[in-house]
Amino acid sequence: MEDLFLTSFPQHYGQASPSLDGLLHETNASNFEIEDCQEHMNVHLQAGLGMARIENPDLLNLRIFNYEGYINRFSHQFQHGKKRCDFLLASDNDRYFVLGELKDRNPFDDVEQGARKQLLGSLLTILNVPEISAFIDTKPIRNCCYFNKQASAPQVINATDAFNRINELQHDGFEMKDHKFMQHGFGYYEFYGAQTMKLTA
Amino acid sequence: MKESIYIRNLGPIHEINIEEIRPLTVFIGKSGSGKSTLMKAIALFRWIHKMHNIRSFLKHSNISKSPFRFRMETYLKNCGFDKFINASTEIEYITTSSSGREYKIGFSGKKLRGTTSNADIIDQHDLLFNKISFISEYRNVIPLWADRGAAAAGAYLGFYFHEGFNDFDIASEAIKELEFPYLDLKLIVRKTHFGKKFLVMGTKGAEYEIDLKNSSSGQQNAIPVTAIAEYYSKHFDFDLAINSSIIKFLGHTGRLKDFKPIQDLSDIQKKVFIHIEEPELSLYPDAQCQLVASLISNCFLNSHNNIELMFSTHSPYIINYLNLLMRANDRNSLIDNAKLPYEDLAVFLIDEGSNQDLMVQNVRLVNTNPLSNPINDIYDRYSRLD
Repeated sequence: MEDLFLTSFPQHYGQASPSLDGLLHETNASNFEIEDCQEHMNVHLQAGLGMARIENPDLLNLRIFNYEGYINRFSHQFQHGKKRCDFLLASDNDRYFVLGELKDRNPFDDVEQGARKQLLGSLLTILNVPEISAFIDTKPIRNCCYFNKQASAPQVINATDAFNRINELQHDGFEMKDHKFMQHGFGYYEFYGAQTMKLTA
Repeated sequence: MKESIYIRNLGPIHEINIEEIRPLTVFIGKSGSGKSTLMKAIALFRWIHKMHNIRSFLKHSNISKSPFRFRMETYLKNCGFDKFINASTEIEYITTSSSGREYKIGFSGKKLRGTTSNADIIDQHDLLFNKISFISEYRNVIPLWADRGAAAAGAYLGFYFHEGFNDFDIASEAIKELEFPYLDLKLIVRKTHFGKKFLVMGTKGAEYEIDLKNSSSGQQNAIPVTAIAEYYSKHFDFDLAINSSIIKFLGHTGRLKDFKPIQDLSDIQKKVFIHIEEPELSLYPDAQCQLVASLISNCFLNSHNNIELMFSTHSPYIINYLNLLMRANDRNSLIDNAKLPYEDLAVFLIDEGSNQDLMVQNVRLVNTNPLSNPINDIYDRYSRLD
């Protein structure tokens, strides 16, 4: 994955290669969370710190790439108008390729719609690069995922808990039908609160 | 029959593609997002399809000259679409029969297509007669309008109001008394020398009797919706209605003697399409759910006619309640006398002029999170004030 973003991507778009320092995380932890923290992306083994919860029961080797941080290292001209999701995740076992958008909600933003746009725009940008597209083709499970850490209310008010109860009905997130992703061979998932993306061998 | 619709550049609608309209199809979205425009466009094309079926039936029955012409300009004006249409507006409504034959009615370049040539004629085995009902958000005026009767003659409150009022008026010819257990009341229709009198009577020990026009706003909204659904499910005589229409059209052509019906009208497929804007209007959350349960029970579980239902809503309660009704169906149970198969439901978020399918694919649920966002936003903002 490093070569693709160190060489293929910049070459395809006629850009100088940016440094990948601090952008790539590797883990085979059975449970971890990903946090979007300004320019940085953190992978936490401690529960409750991240926006995306990931279960990796078969201890797959996973590479998580800070895509937003990566795009931010290009020239302003290149960045202009470019959608950038938070991370890309690939398993070493030729199984998973995931684009992820993380949200810790902002008041009254259309966060979910915005997330879809970031994911789709990012997907189209990377699929344009033939080497990346070929790499993705080797991964049969391809998904774009929106992760949203959910709100809570003061203890005496259970309104948010009540409205968010639907998310307790399906631990593995919601698979939604979206032709904009399907036409590129990708599924679209939404994960709210404690919903967890499970990656198995 | 499968129905689909594609709409591009119609007022607030940028591009909407619904591959399959389900027996219960629901639209949610912000005010002005295009929910009503979409529902009105679907109702309009269902009506054109109906008229095209009548025309096809007559052609098969030796009446080659159509007794009517499609006047799109008038229809679009009735829908309030006259300002929404431009050169790039495109609508394609497709029905697919059980035999797999597709019938397309299109509108593009400001012209209607798919209803004029011989190739467009609907095969006699695929003929469908339908009835369209549209109950608008202005239905709370129905009780007052009904009370004024002849005094309101000549006044005009818009095409969709009058469509809903006419349906309520016809329904009240057939319904003398209708119970609303979730509102603890019943509607009584009394005929007097001065026309019909609509009364609301308390039940479950609440002894009162008031005019419908003086009942609560929630009651004035819910009663017409339920009465119309009750009428189409239990009292509407489809065969009689079609016979009357056919005879009327034949009368226009003066060709009654040439009429050789290709098949018995009673053997032709029939469907009632009911469209409702915001069924929840002025109702407390649990009554919103009970109203939807009564509609589903009436239209799908206890109907003499084949009915499909479509509504727009802003209610998170109703959408979450649909999950309960789907669960009831999967558990072979009833909730408030209703249940709903997952396969019979479609829910779309209309946003930024496009549609987003909210049916979850990996579990039999509607994704209700878009309607839960405001409550999360409220407490996010609350937390930020710490």
